[in-house]
Amino acid sequence: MAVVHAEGNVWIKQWDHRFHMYGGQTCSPLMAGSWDDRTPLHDAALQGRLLPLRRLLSQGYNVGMATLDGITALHEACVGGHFTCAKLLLEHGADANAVTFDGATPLFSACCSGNPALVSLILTHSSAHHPAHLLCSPLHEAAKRGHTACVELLLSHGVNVDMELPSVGTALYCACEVKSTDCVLTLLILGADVQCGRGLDTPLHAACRVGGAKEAELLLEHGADRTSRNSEGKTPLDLTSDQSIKHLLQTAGTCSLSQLCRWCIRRSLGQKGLNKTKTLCLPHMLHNYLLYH
Amino acid sequence: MPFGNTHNNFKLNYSVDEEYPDLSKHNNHMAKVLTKEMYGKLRDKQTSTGFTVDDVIQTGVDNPGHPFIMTVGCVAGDEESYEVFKDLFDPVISDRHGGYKATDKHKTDLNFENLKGGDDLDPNYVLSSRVRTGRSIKGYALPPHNSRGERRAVEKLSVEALSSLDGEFKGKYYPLKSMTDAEQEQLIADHFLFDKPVSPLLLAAGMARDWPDARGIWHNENKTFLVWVNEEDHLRVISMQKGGNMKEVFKRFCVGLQRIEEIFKKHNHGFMWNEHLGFVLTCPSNLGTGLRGGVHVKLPKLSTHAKFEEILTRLRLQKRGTGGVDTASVGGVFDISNADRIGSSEVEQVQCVVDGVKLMVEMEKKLEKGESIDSMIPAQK
Repeated sequence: MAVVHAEGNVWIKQWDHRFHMYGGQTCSPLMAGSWDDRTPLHDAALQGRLLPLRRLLSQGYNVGMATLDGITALHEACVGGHFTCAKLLLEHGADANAVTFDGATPLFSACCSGNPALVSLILTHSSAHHPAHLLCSPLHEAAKRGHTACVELLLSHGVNVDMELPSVGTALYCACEVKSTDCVLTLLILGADVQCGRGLDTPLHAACRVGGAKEAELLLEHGADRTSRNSEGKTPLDLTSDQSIKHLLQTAGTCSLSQLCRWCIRRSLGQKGLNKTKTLCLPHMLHNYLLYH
Repeated sequence: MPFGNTHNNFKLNYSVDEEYPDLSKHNNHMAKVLTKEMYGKLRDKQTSTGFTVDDVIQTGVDNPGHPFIMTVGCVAGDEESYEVFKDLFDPVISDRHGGYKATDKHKTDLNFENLKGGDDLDPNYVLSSRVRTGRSIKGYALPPHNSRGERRAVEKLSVEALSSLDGEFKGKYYPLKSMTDAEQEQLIADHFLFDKPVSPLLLAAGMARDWPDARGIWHNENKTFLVWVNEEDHLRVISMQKGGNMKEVFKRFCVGLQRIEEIFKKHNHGFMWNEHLGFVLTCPSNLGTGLRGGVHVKLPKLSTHAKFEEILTRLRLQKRGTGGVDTASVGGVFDISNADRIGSSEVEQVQCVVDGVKLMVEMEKKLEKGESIDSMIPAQK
């Protein structure tokens, strides 16, 4: 027992020495290459190796050790999609709000890997669900990669569905660009404004540009205005060479009063209102009508 | 290097299928290039110092890589590695260096007088400047592969060369294994000290063997010229100073390297160089100039601009964290350096940094005034 205790002290001293030597970094920034600053902790976390992770932490390895670019082991566990490793790191005090030099948070990294359980875990530990840096939005990343379950989780935790990033657009716009049908549908149902895209470019413009017929159809069903003109004066019809999309746009007739009313009510309610609508004691028919069930 | 029969000819008792590594979950350049057929063709070869293809790739086999960051996944064990395992290295080099072909010629230009401007980067924004590179000494194997004797010979020769420098280059050598606590504290405070690698990538490549034997740090009296001995390369050299005078930094860099090489050549151990690969270093990502010329620059507004990444890419620059140097309490400070290493010369790469940083500082100033920078965004080089 004494031997084990002494050994632990030696380890703690060794890791602490390194932490002190580099001022909280993993190695000297002076001439380090781009991979010198990955530690065994980062490596174990990225690859989901629980045993060495547990051992390193028990030996006193500093859980907050960051690379030169501010990447912590928690970021790597999230990038790798490893729920159990992330949980262990958090239990040892890992900062769920840590931001890398590129503005990425563990939540952003979790949305890259698309593990819903992991996203849920990080959401309960982090205080900021919106990007610390405008260009690293968890919602947009999940939408871009078609991680629909993660999109739902983020929105259920109050992330603004219509957040528009400069040069990137809204999450709905991103989902249309990559033709992620499930994601488009989920975003629309959960309250995304069908007209909010990137500047004057609407999601329908994006869908038409990439030949996303299913996405275009969904957008139209949810009230997309096919006559919108973008900053170049183009309508969605002008941007597509896909015959089925052209046909869809040209033959979309007048909408029923029922449909128009639904769109109007949903737009008035917005994302938060729609979320609360679920808890109201509405007749099933009305409930299904408003929420597309 | 790593221990085991995969690294000697015993593996020839097993078939290619049986010995070919499992690269199914890997994301590095080596894994994308090394087919079973290529492995079969190369596995019975070795360099004159005994480096095998399995030695080359072990670091890339043991470290699958990152989903979003490509590593090269291989190292050279000696100068000859790049020729004996050419079939593997050429496509890796091409992938890593933007299509550099096996028939391309590298340019070397260490004439500091060819650098235009660079002495006038705004010191209110550019906090410090540095130019660093690596050098390999002919006649010895590289750090993943060298023997204790070779490593000690590299150290001995380096100390001899560095000790004979005078003028602004006069300085002192600090061997890692016999450093006093006070010396260690000072080198830490100066951000000069390096320690035994913990990166699994470097460990798997054999960089930490016999640590700290024959490793050390030399720097001049002004602390503007520093040399690391036997870290990832035989020599890592850096010239640096506070402020934005990159011209002076680059001059010191060129003069210092030239003087050191002259001394090495007198001992018949010049630097490894050839007209295709330029300066030969351990990691394929550093071939060519091996140079990283950078500045620590304050760009709090530009860095949050939507086009920042695109601007960097178009200027052929990259950004990294500063690790606390110059920036303990300042936000928005970046280490900006050249992205390219091969196919363009030292002067060209530093010129790229000088011109790019100057432009970005001008952009920053415009953004501070609330003006648009759209007309200043450069075309792709």
